[in-house]
Amino acid sequence: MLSEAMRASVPAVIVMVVACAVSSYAQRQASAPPKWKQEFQRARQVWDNGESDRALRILEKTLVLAPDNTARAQIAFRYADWSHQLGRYSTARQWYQKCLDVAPEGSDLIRRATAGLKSLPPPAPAPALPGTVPPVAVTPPHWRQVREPAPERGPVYAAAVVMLVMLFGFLLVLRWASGWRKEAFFAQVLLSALLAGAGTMMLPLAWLALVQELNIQPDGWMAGALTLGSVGCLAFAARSWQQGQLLRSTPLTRLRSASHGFLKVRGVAEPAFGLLNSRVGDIPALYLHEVSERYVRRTESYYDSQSKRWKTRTVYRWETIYSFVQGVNFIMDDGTGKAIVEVQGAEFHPQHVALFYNYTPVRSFPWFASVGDVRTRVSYIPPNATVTVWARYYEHDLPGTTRDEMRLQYDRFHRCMVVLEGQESKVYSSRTGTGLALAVMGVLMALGVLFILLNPGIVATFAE
Amino acid sequence: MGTVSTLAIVLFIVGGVLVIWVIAAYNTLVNLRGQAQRAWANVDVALKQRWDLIPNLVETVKGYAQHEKQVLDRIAELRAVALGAKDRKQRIQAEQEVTRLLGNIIVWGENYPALKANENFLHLQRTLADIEEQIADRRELYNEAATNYNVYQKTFPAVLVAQSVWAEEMPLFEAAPQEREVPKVQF
Repeated sequence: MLSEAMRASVPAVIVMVVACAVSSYAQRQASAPPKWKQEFQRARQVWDNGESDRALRILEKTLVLAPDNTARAQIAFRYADWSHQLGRYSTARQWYQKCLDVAPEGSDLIRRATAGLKSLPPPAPAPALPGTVPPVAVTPPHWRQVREPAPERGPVYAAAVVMLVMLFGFLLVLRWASGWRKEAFFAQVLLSALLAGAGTMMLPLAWLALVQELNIQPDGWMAGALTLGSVGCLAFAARSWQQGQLLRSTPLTRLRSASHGFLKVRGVAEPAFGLLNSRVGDIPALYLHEVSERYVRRTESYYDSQSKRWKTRTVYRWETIYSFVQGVNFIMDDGTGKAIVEVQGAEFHPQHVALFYNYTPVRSFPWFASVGDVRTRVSYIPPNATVTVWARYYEHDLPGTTRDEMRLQYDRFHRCMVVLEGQESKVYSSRTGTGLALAVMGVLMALGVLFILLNPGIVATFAE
Repeated sequence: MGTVSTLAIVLFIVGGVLVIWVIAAYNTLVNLRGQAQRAWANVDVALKQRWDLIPNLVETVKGYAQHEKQVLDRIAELRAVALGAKDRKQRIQAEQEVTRLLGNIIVWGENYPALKANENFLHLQRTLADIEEQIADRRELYNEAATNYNVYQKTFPAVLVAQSVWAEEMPLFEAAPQEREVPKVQF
C-alpha cells in the first residue's frame, strides 16, 4: 500500500523538482547581469591575469553579444586601449576608429577614443616604388553600416523562397500521383507544407557544409545529441502511452466467440508443450526469470585526483553469476474454448516470486552478507495459473480434420503481446509510468537544447 | 557562427525526423494495404470456386423445385452484378446475398424429398458447405487486415499520406440487413 502511494507520488515529485529548478533558474537569470557584461568582466579578469591575447579573443566574442551601440563602443574602446598598451598600433587605430563610429554623439567614449587616437604614433607610409603610380585611396567601408545592415533580402527570404518552391514541387508530385483528385487537395497541401517545412529545416546545415568547412563546436554536438535524445524519448513515450490505451480499451473476449484480430482473454494456463524448471529450487513453471548473484570482494584501481596517483581499494558487491529468462508455449482454457498461446515476443508479468539465500528458501534477503554468499530470485508463472493474455487471435484448419485450431500470438501490427498473472492495473501503471518518465526526460532534453541555443559557448565554458 | 551552426544542427535533426516519420507512415500504409489486398485475393479465389459450382447446383435443383424460380433468377442476376461490380463494396453486397440464397437452396433438400435422394445434389451440398467454411475463414482474415488498414490510415501523419494518395476505405464483410432480423418462431 505504501509502495503504491510512493509510486503514485513519483510523477508529482518530479514535476515539483523540475518546476523549482526552472523557477530558481529564472530568478537567477533575472537578477544576473547581462551576458555581454559578464563576458566583458571575464575578459578584464583574464587581462589582469596577464593573458593578453586570450583577453582580446574574449572581447571579440563579446562584441557579438552586445545589445546596442553603446555596449559595442565600450568593447571597441577596451580592445583599442589594450592593443595600444601591447604596442599593436595599427590594430589599436582600427578599433579606436570603430569606437568613434558607433559611440553615441557627445559621449565620454568619443572624447577618450579621440585622445587615444591622437596619442598613437603616425602610421608609417608605404615606400613608393620608383616609376609606379601611387595607389588610389579607397575609403574603407563604414563600420556602423557593416554592423547594422540595412534591411535586405537575408537568409530568411532565401529560406522562404526555397520552402515555397519545395511546397509547389511536392504539391505537383502528389497531385499527379493521386490522379488530380479534387477532394485530396487539402490533405496534399498540408502534406506538402509538412515536407517543405522539414526540407527547409535541413537546408541551413547543408548550406553551411557546402559553403564553408563545417567546424562543429561542442555546443553543436551537445545540442544535436540532446535533440536526438529528446525526439527518441518523446517517440517512445507516445508509443508507450498508445499501447497503454490499447491494452486498457481492449475488451475481454470469450474464445468461443473470438474472431481474428487483437483481443484480451483470461483463463487457466495449462501446460501442453513441457515445463521449465528453475535451477535453484527446481520450481516448475511456464515462464521463468531466474537471477543468481554472489557477494564478492574485489580490488579496484582508481585515480586519486588529489595525490594525482593511481591507488587501489577493496570493494564488496553483488555480482550476477547466473541469469535465465524463458517462457514456453501453453494452452489457455477460458471455459468456453482452448487456444494455443505462442509466447515468442511476449512480455510477461509474473506474480509468483521465490527467494533463495545460499540455495535455501527465505521470505526476504538478509541485510548483511558475507563474502561467497549466493542469493537467487525466481519470478515465475506456475502451471495452471490464471493469466490474462493480450494477443492476436487467429485460427486455421487442422489438416485431415474438420476442426479449427485456435492460436494466440504476437501482434505485429500493434507490436504487442502481454501475458499477465495477477492484477491488470500492473500492466497499465507500468505503461503509464514509463511513458510519463520518458516524456519528462524528452521535455528536459528539449529545454536543454533551448538553453544551449540561448547561451552560446556554454558547453565550451563548462568544459573549460 | 557557433550559435548559427548549433541551430542548423538542431533544425536538421528535427527536419530529418519529420521526413523519416512521413516516409515510415507511407511504407506502413503500403504494407497494410498489401496485406488487405492479399487477404481479399484469397477471399476472391474461394468466391470464384463457389461461382463455378453454382451453375451445376442450379441445373440440378431446377427440375425439382419449380416453385423457387424467383430465387434461381435472382442468383443469375447477382452473378452478373458480382462479376461486373465496379467496386469492392458492391461486390461484397452481392456475394452476401448469394450466401443467403444458397443457404435457402441447401434447405430445399428437406422440402423436396426427391431432391434429397439425388446423389449429385448431395455431393454439391457437401462441396458447397466446404467452400462456405473456407470463405468464412478467409473473410475473417480479410476483415482483420482491412480493419488494421482502415484504422492506421486515420492516424496522424498517415491520414495526410493516405488522403493525398489513395483515400480508400476497405469495406468489411458485415451481416446483411436480412440476417440481422430476429427470426419469428411460431408454435
